[in-house]
Amino acid sequence: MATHSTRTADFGTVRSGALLGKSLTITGEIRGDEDLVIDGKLEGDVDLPQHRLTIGPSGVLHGKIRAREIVVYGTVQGNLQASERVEIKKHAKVIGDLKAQRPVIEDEAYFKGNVETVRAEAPKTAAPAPAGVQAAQASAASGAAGQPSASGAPAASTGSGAGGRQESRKG
Amino acid sequence: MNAKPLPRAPAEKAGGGSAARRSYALEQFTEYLSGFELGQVVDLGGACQSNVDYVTGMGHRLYAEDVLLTLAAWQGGPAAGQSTDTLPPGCLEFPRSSVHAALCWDRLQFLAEPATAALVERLHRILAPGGMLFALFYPDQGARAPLACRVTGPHELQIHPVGAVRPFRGYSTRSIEKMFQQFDSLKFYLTRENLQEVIVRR
Repeated sequence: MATHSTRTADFGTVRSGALLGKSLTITGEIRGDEDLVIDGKLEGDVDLPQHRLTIGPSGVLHGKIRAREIVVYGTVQGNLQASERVEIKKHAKVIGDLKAQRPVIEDEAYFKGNVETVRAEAPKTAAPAPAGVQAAQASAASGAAGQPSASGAPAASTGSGAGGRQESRKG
Repeated sequence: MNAKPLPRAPAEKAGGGSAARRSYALEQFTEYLSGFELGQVVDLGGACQSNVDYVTGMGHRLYAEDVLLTLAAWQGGPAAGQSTDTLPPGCLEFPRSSVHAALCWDRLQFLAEPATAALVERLHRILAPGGMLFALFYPDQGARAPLACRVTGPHELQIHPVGAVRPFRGYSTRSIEKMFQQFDSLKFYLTRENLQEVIVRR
């Protein structure tokens, strides 16, 4: 049987905390105040706002994650929100939106979803957008999870920068 | 019956692969993106760190999805035969005019014609008026591995083939214009690799 220390070595820098082993399947929400490694299956959300969550290579999680740091070697289907960093390692599979100060996606990881960086300072005020984009941008800011409602703004004229070999313009 | 495995592109060298080169289309794309913040950008080539940094570094949100993988999974899945749709459910399901820019890279070239048309139609629907789309096309046809395209600077692109070699269709300038006929304008840049870089405005 693999010991916690063996798994610790597998996942790099994990030093202590709880472990959900490979053979375990849990349905329900996990909240806590310590680091957690999930190498089994979890159907439910994880909330570790001050700690690190690691999804091991055999780990499968269907649910939302909120943690200080999230490191994924396995599979996650759900949104990930970290106050510091999210790392999606090589061969990991993540389907969901990712929000963190420092999102890291390694080569050969599979990721499908939105990536948004969260800045420590106060959020910026949006600068004026190109014509036609402004209305959509306004609705994007108020829409849920980056899925703003439709905008019927009129079409904008197009740019004509130098260096183009050929340009085709309609209308 | 065992299918013969497809040849694969040469493995990327550690630390980068092909050298980065200047891209005039990317320069225009960067100029557009830097003109506003909090926009929505979609990347149809999947997620890679440099492109995530490029888009989010300018204050935008990036949606990443490799449409080739999505379509392959859907076409090989159990639901494929039961649907008459050309795109899988949930593929780029953004509200109308809610996306400000799209990075298509070379992905449109590797799709079957109905899927290409459906994807372009969907991009036209989700892009905001004035929004920008960046795509790459080879003029010839044959078989190649899709390109991994990394933005290494505001005007610099690094491209190299990755994964299995697939058949793709060639597009002349005229056929690209026809593909994007619903859009407002197109601008072409021919690169040293004989690639057409295309900037399309919605």
